[in-house]
Amino acid sequence: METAIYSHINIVGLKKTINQDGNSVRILDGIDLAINRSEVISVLGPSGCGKSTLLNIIAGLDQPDSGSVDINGLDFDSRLGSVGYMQQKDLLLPWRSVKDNVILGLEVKGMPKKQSYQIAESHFDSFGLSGFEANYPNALSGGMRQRASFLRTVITEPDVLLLDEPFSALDALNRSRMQMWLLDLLDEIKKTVLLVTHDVDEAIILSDRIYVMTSRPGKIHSVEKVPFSRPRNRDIVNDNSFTELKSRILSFLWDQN
Amino acid sequence: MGNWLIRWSPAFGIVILILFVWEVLVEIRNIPNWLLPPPSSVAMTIYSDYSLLTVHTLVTLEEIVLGFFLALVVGVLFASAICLSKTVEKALYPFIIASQTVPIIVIAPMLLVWIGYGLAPKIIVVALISFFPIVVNMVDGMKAIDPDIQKLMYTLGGKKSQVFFKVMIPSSLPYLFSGLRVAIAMSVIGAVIGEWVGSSEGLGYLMIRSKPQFQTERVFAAIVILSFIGVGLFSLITYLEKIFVPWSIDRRLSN
Repeated sequence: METAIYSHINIVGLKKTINQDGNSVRILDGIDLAINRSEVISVLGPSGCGKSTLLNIIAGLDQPDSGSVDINGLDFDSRLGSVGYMQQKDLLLPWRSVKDNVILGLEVKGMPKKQSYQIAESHFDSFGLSGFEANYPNALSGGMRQRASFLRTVITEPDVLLLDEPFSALDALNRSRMQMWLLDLLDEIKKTVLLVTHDVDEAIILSDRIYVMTSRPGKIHSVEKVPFSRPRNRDIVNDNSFTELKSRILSFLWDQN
Repeated sequence: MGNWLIRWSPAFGIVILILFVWEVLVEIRNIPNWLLPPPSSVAMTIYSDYSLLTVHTLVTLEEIVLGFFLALVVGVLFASAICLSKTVEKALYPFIIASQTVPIIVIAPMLLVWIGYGLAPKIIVVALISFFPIVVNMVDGMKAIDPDIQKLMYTLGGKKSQVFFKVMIPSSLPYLFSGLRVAIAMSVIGAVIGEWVGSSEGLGYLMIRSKPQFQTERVFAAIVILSFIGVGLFSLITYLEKIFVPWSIDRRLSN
């Protein structure tokens, strides 16, 4: 697999410097990433290693100083709006019902309401939102809000999903439930996924490969292949190779900062 | 209805207490009617001058409502322009703030000179006094939106105009309604000021005319009606907020 020609996302030599209180701070220092179609990869790193900046650049929200991002040959301007980007917070709009929140992406693309409701309708069950379509987000639990936010991201059927610590706001139990739910969902929808996290377990459970980053300025330290095939379940956490991979990554991260 | 009475019973209690003390003091001290009429004679005046008061109330109410709507429209347009363009903000905002430092009582007679005697100058005075809280609150509301929500809109393929109509406008509504509540109270004052500097009808005019005639009960009757107008319009806005901003009211899993 490592020798395959990476085709879907190709990132070469990405550099980014930002201005912080009058000082220029290098955030990203030559990032190379290559992701296969339908592959799930994680980017793991200490806080402040520039993970979010990396996602902003891939999504087309921010320009790099140098280097290139190639997703199916889409240039910077056309990436915005075609890459699914789920941010850390659920960012549900409080004045819209769950149903109207999840169709937001279809709505801004000009799809008629009736048609977009039908599409949303077909997903509510598998996203555990049935019966709550008409509720405002403030009536939902944290996990449900996160799933609604997820549905809003995938309903427009982007090829690429960028997930920025999607479960960091949840408690440990709900987080692990959501990870399992996402694991099943990704097997089903087969997207190319780039997941940013600082939870090593989460990265191993969900992804095929893990890019480990150094602290600021962010560089790729190593690429780890996750030694589990799909479909997989939570039992892999008891496997020796899971523990081994986890302790190798952790011992590197501990030395950072 | 019963709940409503219970909820506001402290306010009713205070009103009844004040009216009682007032009535008794006027009686004991033998204060003449033209100096301070007791609540009972104010009530009698409202009853006996009913048709006269109605005519003038409707005039004042018209000024308030029209002036308030003018302020609402102008205020929302200004706030939108300020939030959409940094240049407009820098050009406009200082003048909007400066406009509030000029006492309305100074501008009101000038308006009379410039535009004349009719309804128009009163509407303008009302609008001038009430558009400020509308603009300031709405601008605050539009600026309070989470920049991550803007990012979200752009990654979903949204255009700047869609960010404005689908995010900035709805998220500013709770702030706008706070501004409207302040504005409606001020617009009542604006209408009275507008009538005081020159008019031939309205509750403000009625007060100005009744005072030198020692018809102090009528002055008080006008004050009572004005407070009812203020409280009524304030409640109306709170009611409209519940309709237009339902998400800010806590709707639990029960529905």
